[in-house]
Amino acid sequence: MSSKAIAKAALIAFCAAGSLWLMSAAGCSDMTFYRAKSDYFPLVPGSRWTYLVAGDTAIDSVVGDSSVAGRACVVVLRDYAPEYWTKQSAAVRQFIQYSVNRAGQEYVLEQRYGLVYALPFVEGATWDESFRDTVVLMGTDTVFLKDSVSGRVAAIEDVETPAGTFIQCYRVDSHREVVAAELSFTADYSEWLAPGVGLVKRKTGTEEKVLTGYAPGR
Amino acid sequence: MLSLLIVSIFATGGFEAGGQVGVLFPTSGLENSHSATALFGVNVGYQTGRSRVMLNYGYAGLQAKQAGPYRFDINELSVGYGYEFARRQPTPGSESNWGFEASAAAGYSLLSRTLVSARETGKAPAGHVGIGFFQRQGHSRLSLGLDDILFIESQPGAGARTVSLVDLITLKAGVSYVF
Repeated sequence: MSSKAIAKAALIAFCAAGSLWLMSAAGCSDMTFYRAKSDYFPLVPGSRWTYLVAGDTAIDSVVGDSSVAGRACVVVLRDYAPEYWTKQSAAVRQFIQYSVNRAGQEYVLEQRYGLVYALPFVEGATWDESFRDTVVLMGTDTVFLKDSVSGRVAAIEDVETPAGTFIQCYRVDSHREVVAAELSFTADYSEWLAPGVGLVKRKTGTEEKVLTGYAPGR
Repeated sequence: MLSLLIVSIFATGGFEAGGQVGVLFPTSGLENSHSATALFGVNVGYQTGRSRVMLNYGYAGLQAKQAGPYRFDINELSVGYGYEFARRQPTPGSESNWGFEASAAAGYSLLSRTLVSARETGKAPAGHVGIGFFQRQGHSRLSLGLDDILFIESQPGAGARTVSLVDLITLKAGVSYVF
C-alpha cells in the first residue's frame, strides 16, 4: 500500500468519522455558547412586544434614543408611557423619578438610573443596589427615602407563551422595596427573558404577563 | 482493511509531542460581549510521509469586554489529521524541510461560564479546519497557522430544532519535539 493511498484512506476515514461525530454529538450540547452570545434584553428601535395582562393587551415598543439626566438612553413606550433605559455591558438600568406634591408644589425625592439587571446573565448570579436619601420638604417636613433592589438569576428554563415556545430563557427573581412617604411599596416578581427577544413572561403574586406577539426592530 | 491501515501507518512514521500558544478571536455574535484571548495547548502526534494524526488539548479563557469578574472557559480535547500539501527541502539529502499543512479535527469541549461565585457548565462538540506553515529541522518542528473552530449546539423545541453555530478563529504558533 503506497503512502499516498494510506493518506487518502486516512483522510476519508477521518472526515467520515468527524462528520458523524459532529452530527451525533451536537444534541449532547448544553447550549452554553448560544446563551453566551445571545442578547437577553434587546433595545433595538422599532421593536414591539405585545403582552396579555389580566385579560387586557399591553404594548411595549422601543422608540429611539434620547438623553435624560445627562445620559444617553433608549426610550421605551410601556403602554404608551415613556420609560428611559440604558444598557451597558455590565448592567441594564432604568431611569427612576419619584416626586411628591406638597401644597401644590412638586418635590423630587429620587431621580437616577436604577439597576434592573446585572449582566451578563449566569445562572446563580446575584446583584443588589440600595439608594438612601433624606429630603426636606417645605423647610420642615423631612422624608426618608430608601429604594433597594435585589435580583438573582434563578434558573434556565424553556417557556411556553401564546407567541411560541422560547428555549434557554433566564428566570430572574427580583425584590424591590421603596420607602418614600406615600409612595412606599414592596414587590416580588419573576421574569423570564428569552435570547434575542427579551421579556416573555412576568409573574407578580397572582398576576401574570405573557408575550402574545413580538416584532423585532432594525 | 483498518488493521492494515494502522499497521502500515505505525511501521513507517515517527512520534512527536509539543505545545502551542495563540490568540483566539470570537465571532458569530460572541464578539459583541467577549474579547479576544490567549490560547494554550499541548499535543501529541504521529507522522508518516505527508500525513500526521494528532491528539490535542487546548484551553482558552474568554473574558467580557467590561472590566468584571466574568470568564468563559473552554477546555477542548480533539483528534485531528493533517496533510502536508506542499513540502520543500532546502538542500538535497538535508533532514530539514518546510512547507504548508492543511488539517481537520473533531473535538469535544467542556465549557464553564463564571461570574463571581455563579457558575454554569456545559459541553459542546467542535470541528476544526486549519492551514499553516511548518519548518522541521532535526528533532524540532515549528508551526504557525490559522485554525477555525466551529462549535455546534442544538436543542429540540416545540416546533423545529434550534441549531446554534459559533465560530472561533485562532492564530497559533507551536513547537514540537520529534522523537
